[in-house]
Amino acid sequence: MAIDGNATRVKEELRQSFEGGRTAFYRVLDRIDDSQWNLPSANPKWSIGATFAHICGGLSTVPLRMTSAREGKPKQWMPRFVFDFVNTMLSRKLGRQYDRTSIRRYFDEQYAAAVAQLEGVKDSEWDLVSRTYIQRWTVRELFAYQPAHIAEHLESITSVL
Amino acid sequence: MAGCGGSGPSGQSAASSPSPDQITQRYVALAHSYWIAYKTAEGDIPTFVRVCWGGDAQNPATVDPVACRGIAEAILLPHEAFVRNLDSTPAPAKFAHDDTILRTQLPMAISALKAMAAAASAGDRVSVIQYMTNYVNDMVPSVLDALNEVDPTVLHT
Repeated sequence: MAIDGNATRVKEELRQSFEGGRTAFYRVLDRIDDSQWNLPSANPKWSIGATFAHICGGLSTVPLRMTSAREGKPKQWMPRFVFDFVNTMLSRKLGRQYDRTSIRRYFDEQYAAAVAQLEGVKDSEWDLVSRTYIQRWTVRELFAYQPAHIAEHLESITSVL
Repeated sequence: MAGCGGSGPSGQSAASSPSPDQITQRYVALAHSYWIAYKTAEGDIPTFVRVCWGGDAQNPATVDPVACRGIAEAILLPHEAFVRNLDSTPAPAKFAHDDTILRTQLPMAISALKAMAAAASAGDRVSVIQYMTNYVNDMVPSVLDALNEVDPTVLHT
């Protein structure tokens, strides 16, 4: 069921959630210094740096997920163990690739791309279903998840600071 | 399950010239039966991951060479049958790109599986994990994406 008359309000709420996620990201990033980048986070899989990178990586998936929703086709659907492996290793790799300074540009790029996707959502598209990697999300769920994902992982950083 | 992956769709006259719809139907049916046979042979994924990949941590001590070899040999059969059947089942134009991916990637996946089975036979757990990784890389996401295009009735995973 389309959300019709609520679409504008929904998009505005999501916009605000995204902005809240961005603000929180920078607030936590500004709390650490360079020496803390490689320290463990509360998530045993990742360092603090890898966790920041993982947040950016999550945002980077939004365009592909929207393509899946609009085409009505699964994209890069895979077994969970493969997803978990790639997710873990890619975040570690990105955590080594970026540092506390360069992660800002990476975040800004992925954030801007995700917000652009949000702005491009038509009223009729909120209930389309994206099937990407291992997740099935409606478009609305896809965008609602991103700020929640940021908050979840920032918590694994702030809890060890 | 008899005949799954072992032969193309039956009931077609060799002398007749199939219509575009028939070409598509045959190709989709072949892909569908292949995947059903493959998943049946594969069994449950957690077991496959544990015995051939050492679980999520890829721990060589967790690898079970005998069980891994059994799965490898079982899933080789539908893979090889499918690749053979592709040679006698022309792809419709709309699946040409997917067909190319399948014809390119699956022989690589088969090679990785054979190497994994050989490593398992030798009790070389570290190599088993490496070849399993190669196999996954050959299959995911390209083969799964291609199969999802060809046969959207199944979410290939």
